[in-house]
Amino acid sequence: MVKTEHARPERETDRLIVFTQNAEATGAEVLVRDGEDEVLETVRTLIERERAGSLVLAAFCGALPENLLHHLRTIAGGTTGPTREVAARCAIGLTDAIAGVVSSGSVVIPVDSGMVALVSLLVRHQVVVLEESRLLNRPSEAIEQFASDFVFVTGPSATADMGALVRGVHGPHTMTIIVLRNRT
Amino acid sequence: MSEFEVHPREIADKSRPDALTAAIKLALSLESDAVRRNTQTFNRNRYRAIVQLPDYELLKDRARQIKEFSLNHLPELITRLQEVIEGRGGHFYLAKSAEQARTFIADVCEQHGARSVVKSKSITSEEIELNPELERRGIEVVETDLAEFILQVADEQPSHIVGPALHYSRERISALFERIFKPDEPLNSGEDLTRFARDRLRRRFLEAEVGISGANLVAADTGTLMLVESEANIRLTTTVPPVHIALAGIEKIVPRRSDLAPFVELIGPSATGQMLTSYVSLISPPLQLPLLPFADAKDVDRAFYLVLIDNGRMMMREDPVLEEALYCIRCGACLNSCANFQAVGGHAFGGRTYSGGIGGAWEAGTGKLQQARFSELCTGCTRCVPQCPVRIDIPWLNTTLRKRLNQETPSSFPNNLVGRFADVCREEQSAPLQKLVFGNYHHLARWGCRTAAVANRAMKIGLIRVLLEKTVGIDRRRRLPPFPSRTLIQREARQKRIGSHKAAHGGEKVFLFADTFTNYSSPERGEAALELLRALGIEVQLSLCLPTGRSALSQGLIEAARKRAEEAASYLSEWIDRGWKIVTVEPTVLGLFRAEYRRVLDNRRLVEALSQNSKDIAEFLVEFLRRHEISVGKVFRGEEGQKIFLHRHCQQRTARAEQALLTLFSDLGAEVVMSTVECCGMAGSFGYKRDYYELSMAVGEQLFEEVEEWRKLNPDGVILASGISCQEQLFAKRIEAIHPAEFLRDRLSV
Repeated sequence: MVKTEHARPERETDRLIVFTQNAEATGAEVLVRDGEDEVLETVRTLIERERAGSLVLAAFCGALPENLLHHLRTIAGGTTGPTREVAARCAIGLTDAIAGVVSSGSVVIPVDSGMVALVSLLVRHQVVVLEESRLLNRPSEAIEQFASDFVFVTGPSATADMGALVRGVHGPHTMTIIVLRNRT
Repeated sequence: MSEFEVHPREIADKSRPDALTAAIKLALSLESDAVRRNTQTFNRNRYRAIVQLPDYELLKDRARQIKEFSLNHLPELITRLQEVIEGRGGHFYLAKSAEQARTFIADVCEQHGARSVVKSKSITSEEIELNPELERRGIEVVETDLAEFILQVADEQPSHIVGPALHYSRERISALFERIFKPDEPLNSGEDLTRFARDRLRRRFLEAEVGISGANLVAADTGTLMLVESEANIRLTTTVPPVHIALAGIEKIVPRRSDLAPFVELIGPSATGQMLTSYVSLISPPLQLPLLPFADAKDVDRAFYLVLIDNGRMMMREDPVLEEALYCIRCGACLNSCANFQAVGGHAFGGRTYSGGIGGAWEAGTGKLQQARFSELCTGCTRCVPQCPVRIDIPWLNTTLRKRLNQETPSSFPNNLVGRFADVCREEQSAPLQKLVFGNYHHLARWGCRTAAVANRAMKIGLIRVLLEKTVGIDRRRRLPPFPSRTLIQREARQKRIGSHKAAHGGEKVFLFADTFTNYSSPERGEAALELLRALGIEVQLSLCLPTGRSALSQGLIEAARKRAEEAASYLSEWIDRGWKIVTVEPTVLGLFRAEYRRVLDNRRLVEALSQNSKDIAEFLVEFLRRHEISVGKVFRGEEGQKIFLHRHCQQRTARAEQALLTLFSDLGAEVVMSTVECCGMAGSFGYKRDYYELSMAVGEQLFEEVEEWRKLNPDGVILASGISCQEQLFAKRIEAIHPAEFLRDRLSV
């Protein structure tokens, strides 16, 4: 019952704009950044914005430049292999994404032997770093392109079952997508 | 027992006598407001979303083809899927019956030493009554979808395929939680309630040994499950507990993973009006995903079981009509676009598990035919037909169910008597009296007109109305429209106009169809159509008044309808062959010629000829004016800013015939406001029936409000409605509507 007005891109250069509009319509926050430094700065700010002392859970599937990944891991502090109890208390989950979908404003998160799927699921605030070059036009393209398991994530978890639209149910309550813009 | 007088469970099984009428009462008094708000929100959002899909119709064709192939090759696909699942290290079980399925699942839970099970939404698990079996064995089962959680707390059956608890308002959920959980803080908002339920459930996810999910679809080549949700409870159910059991009907199999694509793109827009819901997972368990260790480091491996159930589906597959229901992807679009469903929801318009227009076939297929009795609430308005992403003709399913239910009516003297005289074939003579009477409306109407003076007076006598209510079930609160003393055909003969006009536009010949409703009940609009066409210099002939089969069809008297359709179609085709265009004034007849005749007539050529050469009067006018390059303003006196309220007939909308009216009105400079309702609630005979009168009026309420509101602002405006029963429904509130042909005739300037 989530009200969404979706837009379609007219030109190739509008894809990021349309992706942003569609993702924001689903309740996600989209931050477009130029360059790796800006991305890192944004991630730092997001972590600081959360209450002090809350845990950050991070996992990556290698869908970002190696250098950026290295720094993201350092910022997150390398919480790997948490217990269920710890995982359930984490405030921020930081991951990358193998693709974004313009028509729906989604990100594509792999469900493989890594921790990305769980990290993107168990936390209250999901943060996804996505390369602009990974934007696809529509969901079917992701199904065609990726033969392994994945989940389309479109905004934070939501429900209309309790008589009103509520964002934040069993999954993340809030979601931030940081897009690393293509170098021009 | 909760605060209800009747508990929803008591009226779930509609094979019990009076369950349907009791359920309608319950729904109208307690559930209607919430159901209406929620289904209409889904419906509005769906309309908005599908226009964003540039290839919506192609996607539907593709989805339909995939399902068709899958159902045709089902046994091979089941075998293939079993090999793939077992090859991946999973377990596969094909359950013939509900009992086999629930026993197997409960056994698996026991083998894994499960004390606690988390479940995500699965209508199929409701069908096999899984929870009572698990509880009987001492296994605690927790519904994690918030709607299912509400239902588990309230012990109710789902009322909607997508939103199982959408009959609950926020206030009623608060009251329910207060009573059951006695929370420390009051739960007075959606956020409060969600937080309360989530906090209780999060613990359960982390403790549970087994997670049970459904599956929207399953790909046979990779064993991939497609799982669609918004709350993330399915993701948790399928990834956090070490054991995952997925339960699905055998009809959910598609051949290849790539076949999931059109369904992924269709299901969100069709269900909730979202391009994608929050989470759409394509996973092929057993997963490689690491299991989060418990703090006490209990080491276990992942296990996966796919349980497919037959439970009547293979029989449905052999049934030429019920097979259609196996195409269903459970998006709920047919529920949300149904005016009757919007008013009562699935506790009335539904059975033990399945609800809405598609629900009858499922209850009949997985249970017994009598459980499908709620399919009586499908009026055949066809609004669901263009909404279905897999192109299921749901009204036809329900017409067939009605026919089968008619045949199971216990015989009685009045039935046998009327049956013998009714114009129906032998196998349909046993139909209930009410159905025989309404299904033979053309006889009643003919005699009504012949004896108009007496009949009209008699229909106002209280005692007669009581008798009609007791015997035929015609509600005495409904006005019976007076019969005219002269039919359209008699009026036309009197005018002696036939052939008297010179055709100004060579070759344009119209055969105006004098349908039963126009001829016997509303000749004025027929006359208006004749005058309109002749004023434009078109050669017009009026047809004989033949029954089309519409009334019979609406009562499930399919064989009688077929016979009438054959006669009407072959009569009309002779005129078509000689170059005449068929023009209709009653939208329900146009709908019949374009859609339902495809179901009842075998002669394809005849069906195509009639479908392509039949036009609504407005459609014909627009095309005629365009062909002859005549501007609308040249033949009609347009009054700039003329205020029009147009109530669109349901079948007129499905046939897209209202577009022509909008073109004409826009060229005339009129300001048109259209009703937003899917159907007026009258739906032919439906609103006359004693059992459904309240429901019919509840459906009409929204239309009445829209008209009244508009009328307050536009006291000089004109209210138009093409359907005779829509006009009658409006008249229940003393709202007089005229046919667009009458409006246009009065504005002729030639």
